[in-house]
Order: sequence, then structure tokens, then C-alpha cells
Amino acid sequence: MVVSMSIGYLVLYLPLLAAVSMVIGATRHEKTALILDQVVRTAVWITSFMLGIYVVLQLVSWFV
Amino acid sequence: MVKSASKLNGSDSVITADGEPLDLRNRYLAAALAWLIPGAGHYYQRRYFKSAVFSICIFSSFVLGMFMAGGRCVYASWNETEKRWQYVLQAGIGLPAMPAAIQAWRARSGERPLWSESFMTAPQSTRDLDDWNANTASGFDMGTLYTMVAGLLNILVVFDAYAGPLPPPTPKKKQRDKQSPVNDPASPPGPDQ
Repeated sequence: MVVSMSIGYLVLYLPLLAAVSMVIGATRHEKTALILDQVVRTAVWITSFMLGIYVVLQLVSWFV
Repeated sequence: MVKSASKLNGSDSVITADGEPLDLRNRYLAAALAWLIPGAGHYYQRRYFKSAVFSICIFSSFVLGMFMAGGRCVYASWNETEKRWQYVLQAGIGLPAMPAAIQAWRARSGERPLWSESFMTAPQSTRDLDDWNANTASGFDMGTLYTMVAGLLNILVVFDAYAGPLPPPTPKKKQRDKQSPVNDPASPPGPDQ
């Protein structure tokens, strides 16, 4: 079985990811280039974290 | 630990951030403004780019959340019907969430809502709450999440207005390298070497 989710819910994740990454990035630096660099890194980190949770849920759904 | 912001010349309002001086002006006023209206504190400090980023991101999250929940997800309530702990986080956004506190205060004192019956008023019963959830599908929960995140993000913004940028996280290896100059071949030998 594959853990599935409606695309509609995944789309709702994007504005929140953008807002959180932008605000966290902007509270870490003053220079625009550094802010944007931090924004990208934060977005990648959050997405990786959520993908990690997805993998755990997937493994649980296979083994349980 | 790498510091991105530190005091400059002993002045309370001027700090260095990313290697450049930054005047926070009256930091207490800036923090209060930042809480009341997201981005206003930074506008007062003449940090216009950050002000725009914060206002757009936080207001859009809050408005989008309200829209998804049909305007129902922000309200204050602490009674048998519901203990709305989420409002504590939503209140981090300041003025935009303030009408909910006023509506709750008026309801508690038995007065009619100051604005519309459906604007930031608490549910009268659990049945109302069920209806709101049913009418918006998962929009009520998603809206609650969006507005809570908006409030939490604004708390970070208040801190930034008060104290400047947070130090960026430093990998542990870099921290160790900085603390032990023994590994640095250019450093002079210690007494035990």
C-alpha cells in the first residue's frame, strides 16, 4: 500500500512553505542575497524533513 | 557560535548585522509596532525590504487561512463549548486578531457583538462548530493552521525588530573548529606541545 494524499492538500503546503521560509530567512540576515540564500536552504530543509516523515509513514504502512 | 548581530560602539540601538551597522532606533517601540502590524516595526526602522517581506508573507498567510475557513477560524473562547488555545498563537499577529478578543469580551459581558454576528465570534454550541467543520470540509482546520503559523511567524519578526537578525545556525563541526585552535597549523604551539 502506498500512503497517498490529495494533490489539493499538497498545493496548500506551498504558500505556507513560501511564507515560513521567507520569514525565517529574513529574520536571520539583513543583506538581500544572504536572505534569499537562507530562504532556499530553509525551504529545502523543511521539504526534506517532511519527506522524511512521509518515508517513515510509508514504512509504517508497509510493516504494520 | 557565529554572531550575525552585535552591539556597535556600546550604543544600545546600533548593532552590526552581516558586517554592517544597523540602527534599530527605539527598539521597544519597533517591537510593539511589529507585534501590532506585521512589518510596521521594520518600516519604522527603515528596513523597507524586510518590512515588505514580513507584511506580505504574514498577512497573506492570515488572510488565506481566514478565507479557507470561511472567516470562522479566528475567535477567542474559553468555556465548556471550547477551550480555544489556538487563539493564543493567532494573537501573535497583533491587531488583525484583536477583534476576536473584543467579541469574546463583549459576549462574556452579555453584550451584542461589536461587528457582525459571524465576524470572529465564538461558536454558541458544539453543533455550530460541527457545522463550520462540515461546511468548509478541512478548510476550518487548515485555516486554523495558517493563522496560527502567521501569529508564530510574527513573534520571530518582533524579536528581529527588537534585537536584529538571529545568529544563523552553525554546524557543530565548525563550532568545534572555532573552539579548538589546536587544529589550526597557523596557531602558535601551546605549553604542552
